[in-house]
Amino acid sequence: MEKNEILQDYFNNGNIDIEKFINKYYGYVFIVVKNYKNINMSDEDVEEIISDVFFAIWKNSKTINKDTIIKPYLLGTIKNIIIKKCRKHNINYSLDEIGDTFHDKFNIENQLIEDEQLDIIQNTLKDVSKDEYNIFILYYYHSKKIKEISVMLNISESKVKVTLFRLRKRIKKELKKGGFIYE
Amino acid sequence: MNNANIDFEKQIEKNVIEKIASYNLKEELNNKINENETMNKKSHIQIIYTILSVAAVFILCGIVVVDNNIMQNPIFIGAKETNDNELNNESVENTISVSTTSNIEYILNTVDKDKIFYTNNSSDETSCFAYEPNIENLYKNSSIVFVGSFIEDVESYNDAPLIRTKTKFSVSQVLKNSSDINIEDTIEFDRLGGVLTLEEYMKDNPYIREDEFTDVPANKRDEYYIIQDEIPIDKKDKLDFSNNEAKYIVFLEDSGNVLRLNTGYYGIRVLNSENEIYDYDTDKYIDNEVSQMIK
Repeated sequence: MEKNEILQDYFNNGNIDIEKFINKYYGYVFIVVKNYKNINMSDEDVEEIISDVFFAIWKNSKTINKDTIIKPYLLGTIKNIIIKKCRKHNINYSLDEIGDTFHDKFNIENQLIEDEQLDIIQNTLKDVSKDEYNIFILYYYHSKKIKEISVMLNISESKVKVTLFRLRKRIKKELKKGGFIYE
Repeated sequence: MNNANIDFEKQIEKNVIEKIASYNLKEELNNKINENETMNKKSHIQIIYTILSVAAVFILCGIVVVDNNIMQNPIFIGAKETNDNELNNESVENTISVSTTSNIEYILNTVDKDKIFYTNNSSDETSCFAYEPNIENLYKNSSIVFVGSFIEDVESYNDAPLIRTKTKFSVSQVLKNSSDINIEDTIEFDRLGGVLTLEEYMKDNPYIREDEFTDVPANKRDEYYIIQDEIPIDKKDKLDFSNNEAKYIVFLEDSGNVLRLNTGYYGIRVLNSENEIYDYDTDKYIDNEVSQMIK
């Protein structure tokens, strides 16, 4: 009988190894999402939901109990994400789908605000150059230092600094256009 | 798992990584998390004005050749004339990818004042020009004239004793092209001014005096910056590249291997909403034969 894996199995130095997690559970999540009852979804919707599921796992990984068994937790997360997506697109779904996943209004609004901010940032990233994108990911996902990035990409530290400075400025500008105020 | 599924999984992974990175940036913006030591804002900014007499001498007594043939011996107003091969083989090696205007702002906002050496060696009415740098003369003596907008300063490099910056513009209209260069949607050219670390600036620079920068330890020179600003302080609002909507008319000379701005900052002029061209000397917008070519 296959052992029920727990979240702790995917932690490394206090952080979840999300790439390892995706590698293991992508297939499972894909099948669950694709076959979710009563809802027809396009490939784009499926891609978005699966991405959101793993993002949610990463985001909650710091607070959730690390002894949590993964599969049921994944199922609950998938349901939440799909409900959120249906709500966003005004798709009707049965009440028993809500069940114990009801969130109060405050959390929903906060979640929507955050989703919008992330959408704006990701849309901005679609228009950046490959170098700018790589620097952004190395700094904000891999948490590399400026010096490390300059060595990895064989560019000057100043170029890394300036690129990050410009990216932040550009993203802030887009966020401001979206109604979010930043200094 | 077939290739389509593998690609889909890779796309998911990319989406998730991007989303996590975006989230971390959002948190940083929301919480104003302190950046690492190389990007933190410092408490004091002190700008030290120094006159580089050597650079001033070269600018005031620039090497120029003017004859009636527009195409012969491209005119460069300014400092020493460098051999373009030297420029390509040596100076470009000492490059640092730091832009001019926006990066001056960045350096000024993030670096200790006492770690910045700022010089403003703009060409002005006391400079020696081969011809009066009015719009008509610039048009006549330029290989390329175009209308466009600033995209970015690609990188600054050491052309001792000067710093130059490779700048990229978008091109919306070509008014003149007597060069062999095929101009597309964007164009890159060199202009005077830029930012380098002191280390980069001093490397192989024969113009550094013995008593210059001696108070900076050799192992700290990459923490200090030289800013050479070619734009006069009172004209900076007319060359505000942070304004993404500003349109400029740009006059370039073809120096063989590289396109250069003709007569320094005089070679870039902002346009107003009626496509009139800004004149630095009269501080007015001018409508003339050249401006009437602009659509």
